[in-house]
Amino acid sequence: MTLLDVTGLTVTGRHLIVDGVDLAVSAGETVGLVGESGSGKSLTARAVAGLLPKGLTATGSVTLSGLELLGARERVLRSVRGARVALLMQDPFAMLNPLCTAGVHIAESLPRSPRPPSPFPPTDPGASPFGTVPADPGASPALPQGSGAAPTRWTRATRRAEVLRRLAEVGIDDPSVADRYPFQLSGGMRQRVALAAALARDPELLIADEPTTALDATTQHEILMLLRNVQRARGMGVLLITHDLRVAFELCDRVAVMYAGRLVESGPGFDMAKVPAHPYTAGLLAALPSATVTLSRLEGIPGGVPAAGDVTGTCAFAARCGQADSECTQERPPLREIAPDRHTACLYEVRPRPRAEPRAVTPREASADETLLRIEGLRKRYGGHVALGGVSLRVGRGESVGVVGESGSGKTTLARCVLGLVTPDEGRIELAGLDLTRRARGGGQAHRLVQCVFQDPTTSLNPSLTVGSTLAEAAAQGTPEGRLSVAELLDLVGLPASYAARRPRALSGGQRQRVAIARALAVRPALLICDEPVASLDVSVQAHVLELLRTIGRELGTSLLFITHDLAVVRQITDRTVVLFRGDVVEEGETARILDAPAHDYTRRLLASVPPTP
Amino acid sequence: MKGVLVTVLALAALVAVGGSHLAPYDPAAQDLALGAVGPSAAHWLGTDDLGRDVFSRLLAGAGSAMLWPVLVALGTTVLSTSLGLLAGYRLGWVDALMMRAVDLAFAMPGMLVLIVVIGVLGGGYGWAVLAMAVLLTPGDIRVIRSLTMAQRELAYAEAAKTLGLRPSRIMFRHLLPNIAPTVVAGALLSFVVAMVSLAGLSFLGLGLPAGTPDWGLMVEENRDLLDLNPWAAVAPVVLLTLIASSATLLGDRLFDTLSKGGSR
Repeated sequence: MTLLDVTGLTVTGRHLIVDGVDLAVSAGETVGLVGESGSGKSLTARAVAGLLPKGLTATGSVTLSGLELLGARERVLRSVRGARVALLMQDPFAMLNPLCTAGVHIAESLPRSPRPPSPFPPTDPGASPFGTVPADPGASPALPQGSGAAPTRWTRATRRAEVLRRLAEVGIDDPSVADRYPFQLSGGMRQRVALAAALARDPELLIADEPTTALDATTQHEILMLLRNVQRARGMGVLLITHDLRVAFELCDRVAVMYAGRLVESGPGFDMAKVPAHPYTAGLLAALPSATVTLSRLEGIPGGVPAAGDVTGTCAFAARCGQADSECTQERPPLREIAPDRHTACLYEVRPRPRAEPRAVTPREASADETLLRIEGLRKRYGGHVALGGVSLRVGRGESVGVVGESGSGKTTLARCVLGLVTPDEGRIELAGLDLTRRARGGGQAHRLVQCVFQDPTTSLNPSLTVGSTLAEAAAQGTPEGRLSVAELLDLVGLPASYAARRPRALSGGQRQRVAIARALAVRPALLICDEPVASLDVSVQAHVLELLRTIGRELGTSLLFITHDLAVVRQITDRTVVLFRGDVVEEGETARILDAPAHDYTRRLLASVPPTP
Repeated sequence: MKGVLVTVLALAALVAVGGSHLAPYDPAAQDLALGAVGPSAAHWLGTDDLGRDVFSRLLAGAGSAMLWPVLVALGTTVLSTSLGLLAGYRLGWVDALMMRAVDLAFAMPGMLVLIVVIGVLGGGYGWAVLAMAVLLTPGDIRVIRSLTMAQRELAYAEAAKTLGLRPSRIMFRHLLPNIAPTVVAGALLSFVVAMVSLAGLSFLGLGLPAGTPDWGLMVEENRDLLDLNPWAAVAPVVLLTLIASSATLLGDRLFDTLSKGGSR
């Protein structure tokens, strides 16, 4: 039975954004909508829920069990939202009202009166691996006393019991959580509370927009599993929006891939992962870094995503496709069926890509024995919170070392200590023989030795300076001999020299990160710290940037201290890895050794939560 | 809309600079026989009770009506921007000291201080302008400081620090352009506040000797003539309102365009 039926959905604002999307979600089915940033996937979801931002209009048809939602009156939409269609958003930090407790969030989402015969039985405890314990029978939602059918009002006790039951459904057994405020909860807990609130009125369809993107790997895994269990127990339809193919394949029955505002491929996730039927999907799959093999070359997709309005009459991917010919630009290829329930918008069969060969594990030639950076017993606490509890590590000259850990592990604090942005409480940092812990920071020479590529591409460049002046200023901070010009720096990171005149807002995320890398390399540092430089980039771009960092490291002999939560990235780019857990090093060694045969429990847990690379 | 605002302010600036040359009559020339009469072909806005041409006096007064506020706005903006940047970037004791001083300044009744300053020191607007620039600064310091604190945490500011740039360079070359929309809008607002307050002071008879062609003073001197020639008192008020609201609205517009152009 089709629950949600989307046909020919088109969203236009000043430009065309979503172009004729067809999508169906049946009851009890999880459908993944995958795409990179700007593909229109989130706006598709918002159009379905009737929550398009001002200035955008949707045409086509969206029906929920036969009820047309597009163009429906606000009153109709209000009766549908929450009650029949629920939304789960990305950011667990912004999604909850900081002034309301978790319990209040759920209580206010509950239906106005208790529904005695709940359409959905409480989750079967056996279905949840997280020890979901339904509240004891005495506390379960009291049926209306006396008269049987007539729903009565909530009482304080029944409401409270219902809230606790809902929390238990999302794996929170501790009743005290209901009385806590969002700031007292971790990201994963917040996402659970938000899920409980979204499910409070027992919707038939849940739209989850990047529900795990802001979470740590292990938490992400838990929430995904929770989502799956809840979906199965309730027989609910789920539309999962994600940029992560691995997440979609792991969780979804069917996957639809969006590109430049349209669907390019759809089908069962399992088949798609095995044999992609569209070159774009194939490209995305090839760009995925793997946590199990070290590849000799990371391949992104060349070029960038076009605007939906510019490619209406042609295959949207033709300009970036390796096997495109004149046919592809003649007209827009229809979404054709190639097997039952399997569609592609490509005219041809996809040539299998030669999977890049695993890299022969050759540690860098460079004299890794010679120590460049030595950190000893580094401690830093913020109030009662211990960020670093005595961390020691060393980076050899020309070596690439990964620092892995989840948020709160202290990895960023470590980087900031080395950069001099944070003063450690105790310990010693020695870089190329200079003591960086003292106030003078190596006689003011530290900035020529160590530079950093920061995480967020939206803020890493000064928006009011042109790329050229940013780079020129950075280069002027280095030693005069061997100074690189702006054009040389841009060339180094694979950007045309004409980009010098641009301002950051005219660049894509990947291009900004390239400029940020060029800025960091402008002083020819001996050590480059990378703090999650690709965490907020799309997969295809991520591969380009990683490959760039890898080659630059090799060519210039720059040592890398690579900070990340992503084990697959570590695998591709580092020689040695240090695993941080709550401010302490728990494991350290050659990257391949650590990922293939982890010794510490925490490392194993991290590894287990990496979604399998297809 | 923006064109209209700019035109109004440009005209005002033109009159402020060349007003006394444009005036058809000597603003001080009296015609006691004529007395206060309404608008005519010879006197567009009529005359006041001493027979002085209101239009000429308006033009002649434009200079002091706008020059002093411009000085106040300049002084306040330079002071508050540099101090705000310093406090927000340095934090620590610099910030603590500055913020306590700001708290202290907030506790002072501004208009009263001005009246006392003028009353005690006398001698025209000079001291009043200085006092007003100092009085308007604390509020703007707070705004600039909070914006600076938000900017300094961003990756580009940290990158600048990592590059070993001098603090002054980071503050003025990196942070300042990104808070410029607020600085510009703030400067225009200071101008408006100063203009209205100074007019208010001269309405109270403080600051300028009687008889000076000044808008605030004209309202005070001519408010008894509302039946004979209402324009003598109303015209300066209309001009003050027009210029003040144009400057406020322009500040608002500029803030929007600059924010869109600069950062995103």
